[in-house]
Amino acid sequence: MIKKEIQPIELLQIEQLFQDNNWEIEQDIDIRVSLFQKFIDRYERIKKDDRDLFIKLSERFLRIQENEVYSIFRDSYNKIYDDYLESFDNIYILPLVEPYIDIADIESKKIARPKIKSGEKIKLFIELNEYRELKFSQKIILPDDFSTIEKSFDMEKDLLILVDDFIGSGKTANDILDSIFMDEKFNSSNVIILSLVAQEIGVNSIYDKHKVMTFFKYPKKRAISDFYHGEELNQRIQESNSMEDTMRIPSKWNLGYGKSEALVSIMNKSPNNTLPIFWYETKAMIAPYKRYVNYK
Amino acid sequence: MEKEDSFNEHELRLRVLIIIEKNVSIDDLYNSGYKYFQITKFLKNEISSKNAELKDGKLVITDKGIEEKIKLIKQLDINKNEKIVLPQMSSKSNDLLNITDVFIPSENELPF
Repeated sequence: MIKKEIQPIELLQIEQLFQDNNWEIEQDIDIRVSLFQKFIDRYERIKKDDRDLFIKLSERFLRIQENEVYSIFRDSYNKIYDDYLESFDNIYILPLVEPYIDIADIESKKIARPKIKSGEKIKLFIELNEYRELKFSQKIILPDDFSTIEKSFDMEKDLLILVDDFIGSGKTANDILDSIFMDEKFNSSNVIILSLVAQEIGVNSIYDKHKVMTFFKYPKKRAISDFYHGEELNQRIQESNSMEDTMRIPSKWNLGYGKSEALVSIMNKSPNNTLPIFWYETKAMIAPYKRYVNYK
Repeated sequence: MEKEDSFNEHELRLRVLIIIEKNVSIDDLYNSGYKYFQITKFLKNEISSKNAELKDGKLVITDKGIEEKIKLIKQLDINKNEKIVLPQMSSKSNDLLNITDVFIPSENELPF
């Protein structure tokens, strides 16, 4: 893919964008780790007609770094109603992950240790911080896994909070709730979801399917479809598609997983719901907000 | 490899001023080994020195910048028989070229 030219004013505009968004401009010589270098490398690959949208989307891009995770979790937690929390004896916090791994079809008695999910990282950040400052913290219990609470959980007196960093289309959360609700102890009255960032479509999907409430600090709408209207919307979608075509992004990622059009990167990783123009990369093309550690 | 000293200071400043004046790509500097953050710094230095300014959403050279450019050409002892290699100018019309310029086409303009 041929890189396009970049004019001096464009470089200054990108520098201003970094300043406005409080993104660091590292004096690092390695393009693989410098956000500024990676961002401009991506920008230069975009056709001139599409660059305005790329910058406008970047202005609204939410980047959450590791050192912000706990405070954002705390802010999200504080959005849960006091009287609701007060009504429970115990508040269990678990990551929003499948409670069990199905090994029925595996002949071997061994199973590879699964990779750490982002919900588990959030739980780890809670454990690493002084979470006693949280309201009703004396009720909070951080069990090791779902099986630990399955027997002890009192459906009338206990609350289960499932934590994750991001709710996108809501499909993953709905699948996990399907599994958890197979145990009749758990229902929409004693289970809630807590996320740092949540797409409106995902929150609505979870509530529509399971009547489970989601609490979060940052609500997000679709970056293009919910932001532009009329003829401008058509034009912006065309520009976004044009950017994806230029970068030869596979059509399955068009506008992000489930066409979520998200603009977020958390703990140095973009969810697949984020617009792929920000995270799709190959060996020859590095992305500013990567998704994979190893190039595909 | 860091190439901070790809050009001497005067030559570097001359190149930056020419890029601003002709509003051409910064790729010449990047391909010479300078990183984007360095090039940004060079541009901002010229704004701070009032050799360039933002006008109607564009970065333009000032009269002081033109004088500075001429001074640098003299300091570098560049005469009409010598050539200053200019950056890519594919976005500009050819009438901006003069006898001392060498046109380097961008990659997608090459016929091979």
